Amino acid sequence: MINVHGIVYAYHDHPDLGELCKERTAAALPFCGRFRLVDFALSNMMNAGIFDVGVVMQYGFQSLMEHLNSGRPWNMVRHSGGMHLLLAPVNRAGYDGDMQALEGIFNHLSRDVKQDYILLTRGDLCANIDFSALIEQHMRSGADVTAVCTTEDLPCEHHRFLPDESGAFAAEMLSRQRGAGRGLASLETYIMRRGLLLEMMRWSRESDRLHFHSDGLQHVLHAGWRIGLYRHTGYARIITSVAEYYEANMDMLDRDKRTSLFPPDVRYVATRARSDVSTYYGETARVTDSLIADGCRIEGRLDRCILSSGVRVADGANLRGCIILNDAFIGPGTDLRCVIADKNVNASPHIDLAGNAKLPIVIPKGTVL
Amino acid sequence: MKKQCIAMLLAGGQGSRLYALTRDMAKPGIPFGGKYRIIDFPLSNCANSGIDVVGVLTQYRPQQLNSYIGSGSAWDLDGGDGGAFILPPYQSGGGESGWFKGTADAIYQNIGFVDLYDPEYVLILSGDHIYKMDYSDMLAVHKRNQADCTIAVIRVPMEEASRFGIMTVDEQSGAICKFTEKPKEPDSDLASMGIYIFSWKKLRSYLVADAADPASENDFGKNIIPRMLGAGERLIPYYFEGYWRDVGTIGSFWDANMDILSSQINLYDSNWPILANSPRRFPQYVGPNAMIDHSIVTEGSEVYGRVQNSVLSVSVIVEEGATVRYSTLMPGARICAGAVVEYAIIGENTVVEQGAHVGAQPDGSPGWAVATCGPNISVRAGSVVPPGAMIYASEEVPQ
Repeated sequence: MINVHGIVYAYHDHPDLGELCKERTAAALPFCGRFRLVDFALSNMMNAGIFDVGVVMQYGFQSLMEHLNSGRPWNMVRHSGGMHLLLAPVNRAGYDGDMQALEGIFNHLSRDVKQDYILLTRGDLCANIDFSALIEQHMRSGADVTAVCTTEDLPCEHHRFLPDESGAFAAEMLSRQRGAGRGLASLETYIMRRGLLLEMMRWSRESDRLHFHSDGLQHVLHAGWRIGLYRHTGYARIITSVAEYYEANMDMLDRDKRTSLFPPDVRYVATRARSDVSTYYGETARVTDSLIADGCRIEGRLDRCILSSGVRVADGANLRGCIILNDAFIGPGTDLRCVIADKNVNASPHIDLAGNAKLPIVIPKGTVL
Repeated sequence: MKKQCIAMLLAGGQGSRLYALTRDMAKPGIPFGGKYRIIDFPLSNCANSGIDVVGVLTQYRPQQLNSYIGSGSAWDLDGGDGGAFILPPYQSGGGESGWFKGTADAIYQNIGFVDLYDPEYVLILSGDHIYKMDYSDMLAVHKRNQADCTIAVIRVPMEEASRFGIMTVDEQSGAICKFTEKPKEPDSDLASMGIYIFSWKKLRSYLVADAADPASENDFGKNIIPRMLGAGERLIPYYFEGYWRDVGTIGSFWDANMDILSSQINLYDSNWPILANSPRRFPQYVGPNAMIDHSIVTEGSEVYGRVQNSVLSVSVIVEEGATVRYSTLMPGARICAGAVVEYAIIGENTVVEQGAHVGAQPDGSPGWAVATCGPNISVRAGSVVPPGAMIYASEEVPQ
């Protein structure tokens, strides 16, 4: 049995995700036609043989809970261990950062977890990371903490590590950076001994310094802990805004980026199954450069679109650069450009909407236009 | 563990008329209609009808079928004390080989399995038909009529009746009075669909008697049903109206695939879902120059060429410059640039290489037939597979 316990933060609801996260946490956002963002975190765990995983939730967890299906898609239904659904205690105020979220599951971490190592990751992280290689590097390097970093730019606000001379360890950490910059961007995925995590949490509690990065990690770095750097070279995004959500979906039309997130033969990304029939393309359908899930009926025109299952696009509808989520109906004569239509949207005839890639228009869940 | 009714699904058939497709796989395991395999229809019907114990009797090339059925979870058959159970032939220890001699013998050899559930009724199904049927309604008819056996029947055109097992119904009693297998001069248009509900105690005694008769072929249609009629048992027809196709020939298999395109069978009905244990794949990608019309495409597929009036299963690739018309492509098939596939069936993982031409369009020409390429072969670049041809090895492809 692998001596690592996973923790997935699935409580974030970034304000810039707006209507998309009104009823769901960011981890539950549909992605690329048939996935949810949390599938990456859980599949990364599964593919490294980590089946004991706590999922930390707070608000808007209904759609996430339904998707998690007790952990079955990731083989996390176990006689012992498996997926732990860690809901915030009802009597506490909202989590203001990962340290508070960890504090909310203190009993789980200190009492229930059997493993000696904890692997922390985010449910809104869109990356297919080789956790086996991460664990191996951590065990071999002698680091106290190993941080997963991307060698590429990260559009969202993030923390950066400046490597020391060896390149293997962090010399310095920069908080709240954006875009390109010095050093490596943190994907906020860490592995460390459980004892060290509990120690960091104790310091944080006693000194009332409640941020995981700017307080906790910064503190232990100055206290002389060695933070190892694991370089993830594939596609990676943390989804914190509508524009990032839109861009990451559209990136999947690019074969190389798609293959990086969904490699054909290794590190399979598992998700909850929906039983859908194949997608039907009618005689008037004209579809180009698009990703289409099963269970759709398409009679209209689509270019550079991403459709989740159960979507119907009527004859005479014209969609460019749109993301249409489950079971939406796009009626005849509709012209949509850079639109994200959430689940069960019903766009009746002759609606004309145009956003742009930096500012896509979101039609909220269930809206009847 | 007592159950009111359990199902026994006969899935051992070889399907010899589909030989290019069934050399390595039993007929019920053949991919059908994009997402499905033939056996999904009876299994889904069972789940939708509230029957949660299904014994699946396998014999011919069962490996892929066994792996496909797994625990039955794909059809929600794995909950509580239900399940889908593969029942292969076995050695009894008496020295006699355990191969199932006929359909009735397959059930006879599994009396021990049925008895585990001590059911009042047993539903006998076959794994080679495409249809949606509520077996619970059939069971209600069986009970209401206090029948010993209820047989599902469907009206067929009189001129085709001699291809089926034909039931003659006594107008006064409403019971079946005669059963003729493939009659030369049929006196009824009621064809048996090969779906039976028996009261188990009654069937059990007939199976035991049949097994003791060395002259018997141990077949339901040929032996058990006539014997029950002869003994004056109460056999009742269950009239079925709706879509039902036997897909035992290349022509009928291709027809049934095309029927999905024309919505003759509604697979979108969420009240009667047909479930499948199909592999989960990435959404289908439609390329910048693709043209798809009046077709169904399934996840994992990538279409860059032209697809018309066709059924594409999971993970099919149609390269740019390839044309697919009026065809059904099974999982993993690849049609390379410049290749043309028309009026054809392409087996699993078969590659139609550049510039090859499989099948041809009939354009009203009489006597045309579907071209079939079996699974796991290569149709070499530039070669031609004529209409009606059935090939199952790369070496067979005409140069």
